[in-house]
Amino acid sequence: MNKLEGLTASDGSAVGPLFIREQSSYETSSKQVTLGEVPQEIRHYQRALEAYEHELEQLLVKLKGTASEIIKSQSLILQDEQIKAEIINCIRTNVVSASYAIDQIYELYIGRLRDSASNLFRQRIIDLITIKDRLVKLAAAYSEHARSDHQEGISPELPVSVDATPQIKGCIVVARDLSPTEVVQLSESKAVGIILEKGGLTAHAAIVAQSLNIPCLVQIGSQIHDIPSGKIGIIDGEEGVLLVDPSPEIIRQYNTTISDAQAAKKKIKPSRLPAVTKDGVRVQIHANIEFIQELPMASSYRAEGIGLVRTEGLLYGGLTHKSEKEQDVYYRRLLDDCTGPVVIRLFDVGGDKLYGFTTEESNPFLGWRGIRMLLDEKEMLHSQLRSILKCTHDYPGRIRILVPMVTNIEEIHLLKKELSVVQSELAKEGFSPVQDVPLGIMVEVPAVAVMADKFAKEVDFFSIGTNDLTQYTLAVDRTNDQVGRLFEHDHPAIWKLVQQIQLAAHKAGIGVSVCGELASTLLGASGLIGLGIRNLSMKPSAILSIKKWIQSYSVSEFQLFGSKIVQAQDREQVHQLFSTIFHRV
Amino acid sequence: MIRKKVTIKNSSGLHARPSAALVKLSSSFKSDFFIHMYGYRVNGKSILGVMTLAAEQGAEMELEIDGPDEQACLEAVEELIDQKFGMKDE
Repeated sequence: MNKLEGLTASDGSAVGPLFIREQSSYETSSKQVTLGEVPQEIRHYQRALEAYEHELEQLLVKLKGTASEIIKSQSLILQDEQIKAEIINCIRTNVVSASYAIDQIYELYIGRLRDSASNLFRQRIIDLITIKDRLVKLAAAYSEHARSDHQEGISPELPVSVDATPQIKGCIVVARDLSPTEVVQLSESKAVGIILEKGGLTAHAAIVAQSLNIPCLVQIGSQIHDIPSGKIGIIDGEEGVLLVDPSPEIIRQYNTTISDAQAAKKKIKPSRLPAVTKDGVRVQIHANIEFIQELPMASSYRAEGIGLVRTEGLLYGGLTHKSEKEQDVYYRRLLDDCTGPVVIRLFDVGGDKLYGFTTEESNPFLGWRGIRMLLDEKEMLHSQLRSILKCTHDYPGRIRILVPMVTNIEEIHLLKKELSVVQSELAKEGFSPVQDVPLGIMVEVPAVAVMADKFAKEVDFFSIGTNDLTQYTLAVDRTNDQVGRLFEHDHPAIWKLVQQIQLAAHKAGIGVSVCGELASTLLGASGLIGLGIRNLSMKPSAILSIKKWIQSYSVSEFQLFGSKIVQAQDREQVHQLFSTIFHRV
Repeated sequence: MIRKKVTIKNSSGLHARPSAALVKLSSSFKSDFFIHMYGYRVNGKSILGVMTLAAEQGAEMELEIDGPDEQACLEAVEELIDQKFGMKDE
């Protein structure tokens, strides 16, 4: 048995005969053509384009997410007006065949990428080569066809023989490099694994392999020449190795591991179950979202709602979403693409982030931002409120509005006034906005935490922003290198404030959730649940581990931890308590 | 005609997907759009042209925009570059 080391680009293990895929080679059919054949060659090129575009469309149906974006950019390359014009021009001026012209022009671009010093760009060469090869093959096939069959126009269908794939079902395919389209084709032909000589973890082939769940090793290097075709191979994704010609005993072992893994996959994953403690206490897990693209991950981990939508991105990020109409599109797409309640936070920006404002503040975090700015910038506030309220009718009971950077009760009164102005405006225009959209505030300024009982009477819910609350309570700017280490969101002072906020909310009968980073850490979530919080909102990628954590303990353990941390004298003690109670380092 | 120097900010540079985003955006404007870099002058509406510049993070390029909506086009392109093509850093 031989053991070759590589890098795991797509997880999992596979067993199967090794199939060595030779680098496709072809001869560009007769370079020179006659002047009379030029229009025909141009047609061959255009037909090749159409045929390839059609192939890509069929691939797209099978992919989603990043992998589908990759294929879409391939199609964009194919349809690039510049290269189309250059190829047609080359056929005309040089009086050459379509396949020759395609080869020549694509090579120019490929050459530029080869000269690039960047590894990432060199990885993309294979994408261009595949497009070129496929186009050349298709165009050559059309030319061939036209020559053998003079009755022009009778059979525009492509002879299938152009891409006859050998039997690779059940095989581990070994290749120097593969394009994303080739990976999809291999998966269609039921290859069980892929080994690449080169490639990187960010190679398009690797990304597509991940999305299709095909185990894939890259960077196997020159060892590739030692791989015998036809022998059995095993990909061990965990170790990142390829075993060549293993003993029957080892093959049996891996086959068992693989079928176990498949069985486990079919079982209900912890991510699909709600976050319920061992003794049956349910914690709501919501997702924090900024981009629509984050929604699929949130829903795959069964987030029960969106606990925080950061809308600031609409202002300085998404250049297309500035107008009210475009905000409408954003909110509606968001609401369409998820389920459960959606908490939309009003623009939480400082003046520095806005277009056209150049006045620099010496201390922007203590300055003109959040609700302070929104109340001054009525036009901006109204456009957002209008846009949100217009949705309320179509998504009944799902929308909640969250106000950032509140410090004084008066700010809530002023905002409510603006809300009713917008509501009556909309009613006059014929919209029928829901009247009682739940209104909540971010609890991030210590003054609000300290006076939580007063604020609880004014709003429908609290959302604790532990990042800013920590920054303001401990007087630490976390982005400042010299003091950043003093930023401790698990400091006892924060726990005491959380406890106070929770009690006030509980007494007033309003909801309280935590959307800061603290909620996405094991220690943080434990403390928050221990202090009575039953709604945590976090980045989608943290949901799975937090759910699993909650499912493995009883609420009494969290409560014990909660009761101790508010008595701790510093962060060290908090961490010691955590490792003692949860047996964690 | 307007010209402006810009710097690529996202960590992986102008690879396939950012190039696609840039081409899609600039193609929605009427103005002609070219990018000058390393002595090349490529059509900013051509994904191959843009991609084969192989512009990495920190690369400086000069935008050349000419047409009726040149100002709007420049602003949109600059914003796209500033917001790192709407991609999370990979």
